[in-house]
Amino acid sequence: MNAVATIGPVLRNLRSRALRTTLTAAGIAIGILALVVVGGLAERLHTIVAGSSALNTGAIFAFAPVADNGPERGSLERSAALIRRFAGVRGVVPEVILPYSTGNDGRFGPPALIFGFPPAARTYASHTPPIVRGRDLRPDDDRAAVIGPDFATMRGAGVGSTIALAGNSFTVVGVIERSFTIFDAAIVVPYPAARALLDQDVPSFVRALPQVDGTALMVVVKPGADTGLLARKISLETGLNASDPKTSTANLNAATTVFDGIIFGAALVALVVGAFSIVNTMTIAVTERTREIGIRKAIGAGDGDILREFLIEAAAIGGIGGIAGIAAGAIVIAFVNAHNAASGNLELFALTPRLVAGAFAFALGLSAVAGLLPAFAAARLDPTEALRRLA
Amino acid sequence: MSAVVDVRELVKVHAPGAPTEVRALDGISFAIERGDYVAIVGESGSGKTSLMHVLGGLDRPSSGVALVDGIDVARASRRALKQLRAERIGFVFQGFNLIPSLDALENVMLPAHYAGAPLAAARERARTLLDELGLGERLHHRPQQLSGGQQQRVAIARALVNAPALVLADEPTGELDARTGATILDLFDRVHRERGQTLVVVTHSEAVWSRAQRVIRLADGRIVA
Repeated sequence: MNAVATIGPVLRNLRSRALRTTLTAAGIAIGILALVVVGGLAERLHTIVAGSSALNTGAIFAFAPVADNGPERGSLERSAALIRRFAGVRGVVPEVILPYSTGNDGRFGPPALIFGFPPAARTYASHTPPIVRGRDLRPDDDRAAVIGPDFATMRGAGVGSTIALAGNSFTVVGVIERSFTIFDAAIVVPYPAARALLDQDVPSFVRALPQVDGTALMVVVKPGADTGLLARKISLETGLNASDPKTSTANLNAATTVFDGIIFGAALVALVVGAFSIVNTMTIAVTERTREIGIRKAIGAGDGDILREFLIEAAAIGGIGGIAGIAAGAIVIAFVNAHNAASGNLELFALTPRLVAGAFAFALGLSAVAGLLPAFAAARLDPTEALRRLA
Repeated sequence: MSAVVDVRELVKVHAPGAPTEVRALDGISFAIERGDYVAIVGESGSGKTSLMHVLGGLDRPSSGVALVDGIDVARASRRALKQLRAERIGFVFQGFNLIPSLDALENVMLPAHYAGAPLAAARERARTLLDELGLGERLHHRPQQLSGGQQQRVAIARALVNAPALVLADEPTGELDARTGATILDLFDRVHRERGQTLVVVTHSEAVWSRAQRVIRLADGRIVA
């Protein structure tokens, strides 16, 4: 009987003490449930950070500061002209970014935003995620829009439906693929239409002035250019708020790491409590089965055989608890995600294969470690002492 | 004929130096030849169990020599004693002592597994033995689903599965009624006769020791007859 063939008898052993096994496995299951749920949250956070980082790669976003009396007219175009002359800059594209709603749109996750990019933006890799239904915007489109999947759900919109932006009707021609970025709740409209919306959106005394060309610049950099240096130069020489994408990504990663530490620490506490219940259960099992250990040693079992058998048993309890915890976690995640998705909110949790595999391996490993002490005690039992307890 | 067991001036002291010190074996010497059927008899406390533990490689003597199939139990490493128990000794206990979570076939396979036999070979040997002992229809019965006599037959199959040099049986009929006990003793006779198996039976029952070719009688840790 190799390790695999040992599983059957081990499971029978556990089944013969069903209540104790269930309670012990439940302790592990609760810890694994916590690990899977918070791990799912962390995985989603990682997806969001990765998605945002991918979108930002190779581009610096510079936002126009809002002066006391509104944005300064024409300043963005002047800044763009200046930045185009900087070494390492491949191109500068003005963008319009407007909030879809001035108040709280009731959405959990990034707010819904209206975007307008000039056709030049399409010449650069850094743009919106791909279109999953319908088509992308064309240069001759006027009142057309492509929308993010969360916005589509939130407003019950799809390809062919009409949406209203600041009182103007737009026909949805495409839906963007889910990317767990700001584009999930976005409305992308043709650049002239976005500029018109911006005109409409800004205060009347500003609207009277000409040349409202956008709210931000996307500065596309050449490969190998120092984005940090460029961002600082843009801020210094144009007064725009420019941030280095590498710094932003590093800050996000640092925040994610701290978040990971906190949530996994909390889950670990729950698991360690579960592990103590395994120590307790296995110690009782060793005491109860002293006679069996004596017999096994009499018929040829070595210390290593006994150690392995008890470790497999401890790991099996962990495995059962792990499977139950992962299943419970998957149910919780599916329920919360479905509830959020139905209302166009961010799906909070991501149950990834690596999370499932990691949680299961952790349940097995931790249980085996918890079983180590009682298993050692069993392995070191003096066979004659154990056999004396036969009577 | 070569000696399977060669014991010289064997002493076993339990809890030496303590107020509860017991001199369980007090300088005994004897030999058991290959193919012998020997009964070790004596009252409770005579040293039978201590002797069985030493011969079975479960315990070491305090002094003297105990050679079992050429292995010196006093000086062998822990690993060598494990190998001795796994490959050269077969145990039959009074209370059957099968592993309750294993079925009959798995119980018999267990010593073969501990001796390092491949799974398929261990299964085949166990199945053949159980067939021989009339338990071919009970391979997948758990101990609690078997009668006392059937359990003891499984225990005998377990003791024989590695074709050991020596089978040690401790009161093998102690928990059986007279009729079933006689059947088990018939089985021992058969195993001894047909396989040439060396048997050492520890007992205080005349029904058991009367079947043996030779009787070693212990009292207070010494051989008295």
